[in-house]
Amino acid sequence: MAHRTLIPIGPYHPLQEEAEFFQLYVEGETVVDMDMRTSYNHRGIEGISMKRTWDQVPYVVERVCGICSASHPLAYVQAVEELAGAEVPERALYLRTIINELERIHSHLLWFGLAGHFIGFNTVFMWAWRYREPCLDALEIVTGSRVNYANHTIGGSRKDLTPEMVKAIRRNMDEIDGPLDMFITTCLEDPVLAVRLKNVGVLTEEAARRFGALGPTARASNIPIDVRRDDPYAAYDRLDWDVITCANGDVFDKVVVRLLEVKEAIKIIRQALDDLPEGPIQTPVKEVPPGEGVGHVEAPRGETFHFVKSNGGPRPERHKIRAPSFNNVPTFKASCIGQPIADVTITLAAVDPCYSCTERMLVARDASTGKELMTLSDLVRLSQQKTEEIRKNI
Amino acid sequence: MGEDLEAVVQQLKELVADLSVDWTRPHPNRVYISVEKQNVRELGRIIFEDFGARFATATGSDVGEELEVIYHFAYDAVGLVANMRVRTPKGDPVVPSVTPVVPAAEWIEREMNDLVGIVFEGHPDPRRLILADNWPEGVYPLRREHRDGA
Repeated sequence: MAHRTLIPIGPYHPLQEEAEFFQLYVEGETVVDMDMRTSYNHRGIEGISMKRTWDQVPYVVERVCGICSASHPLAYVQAVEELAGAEVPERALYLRTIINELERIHSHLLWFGLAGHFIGFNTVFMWAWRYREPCLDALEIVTGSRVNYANHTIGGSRKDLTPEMVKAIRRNMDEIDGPLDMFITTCLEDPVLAVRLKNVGVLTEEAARRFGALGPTARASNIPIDVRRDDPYAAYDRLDWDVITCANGDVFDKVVVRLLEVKEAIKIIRQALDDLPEGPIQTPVKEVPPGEGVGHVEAPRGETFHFVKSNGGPRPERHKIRAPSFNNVPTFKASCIGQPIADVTITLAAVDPCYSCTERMLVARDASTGKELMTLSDLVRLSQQKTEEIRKNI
Repeated sequence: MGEDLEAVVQQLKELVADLSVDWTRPHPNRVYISVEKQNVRELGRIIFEDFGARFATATGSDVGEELEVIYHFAYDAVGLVANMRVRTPKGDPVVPSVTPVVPAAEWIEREMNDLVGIVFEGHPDPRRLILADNWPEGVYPLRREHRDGA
């Protein structure tokens, strides 16, 4: 009988709503089974939210995730606006669109850089993060902050754009646009990347549906869902852009979907800046009547889902938050089994669960002796070595 | 794509008619369907398989004398969110699990068990998901007594 080894990965994962702990069961080099558990970092944000007034909650929920800190408040305020029947001013809808697309750009570029690092393309890491900076600068110019933008409020937007800000965003988008084309060409044409990422960590269309996969994880598996188009919010239905899908469901397709989405995001931002209507940015919402509301937005990792219930009082009676990784992480059960360990590194990273943060905590031990076998840096090294070997042989 | 919202809503209404006990549509893109708990798994199957909706998530709440679960499904082609509501008395906090027919509900049912104390009968893997290993048994943080106290 083949020797079976247990490789625990985790548990600490401080960037996301759900911390993760993976146990990989491997025979030789191949993963044969896995188990997961989450919530080493459960902060009880739903409970906290129900103790805040309606107006305070956006500033709580933007701390659910340091990267999706525009998506969570937007989903929440939309749920409340649906419940209160509030008409958000046109200009605020455009402002929301601009900020949420800036968030998508910086998130996808962050992921692209880390994915490059994991498979030994450190130049990709340097370049992607270099060109993520103009995007973060734009967010800082627009909202005053690189994270936790505190911008979306019930009934509108907190901060307006000045003509100088509009100019600055345009300039920064121009700075990203050229290098982005280079990333896309490099990715599509690099022979090593193709060998390293194609047919790796495949999530089939059937499995993606079964697990309720979301965002780029679903779209790379040929499922054309995108809340921005399907249940339009902000100004997305007034602008011209495409939902990106790929057919194979492998890691390569997840890279392609994200890079092309950055391209679309720049297109969306430019149009929103061109068409930005004049007018107020706030509708007063005096009270929230009893009832229930759903708000969902397409965050960089997929649909962020918020459900609120009001009893007519000053605060939510119930506030449910579901981040996309809650649905995407269980897909590892489908995409990791049968993979060599060296490919699991990038497969786990491919749904973008802010994986880098587990780095210090990843220790592999022999199942029977408890002896330490490898750390995450060993795993990353293994992954990078594989790329090196492919480079030599190509 | 290119489907008509009204036609889709009508189709859903017909599919759930036999098992639902209440139907509301407070917003054009949102419907709320109530179901008796003995029918929750079958209605979940109908919405997921026959209607073809995507499972988004579920919300567990303490609504006073009763516990409530709302399963949220999305029909993306027309941006419809269909919510399936089931309630059970606090003295009998057991409802049938929909995970056997809607696999994506596995984690959220475990979470609702942890936080609200709802037992999902027939769940394939009812281990603790959210609460720490040393959290006391039988203490549910989202029950009203804890929520209002802490």
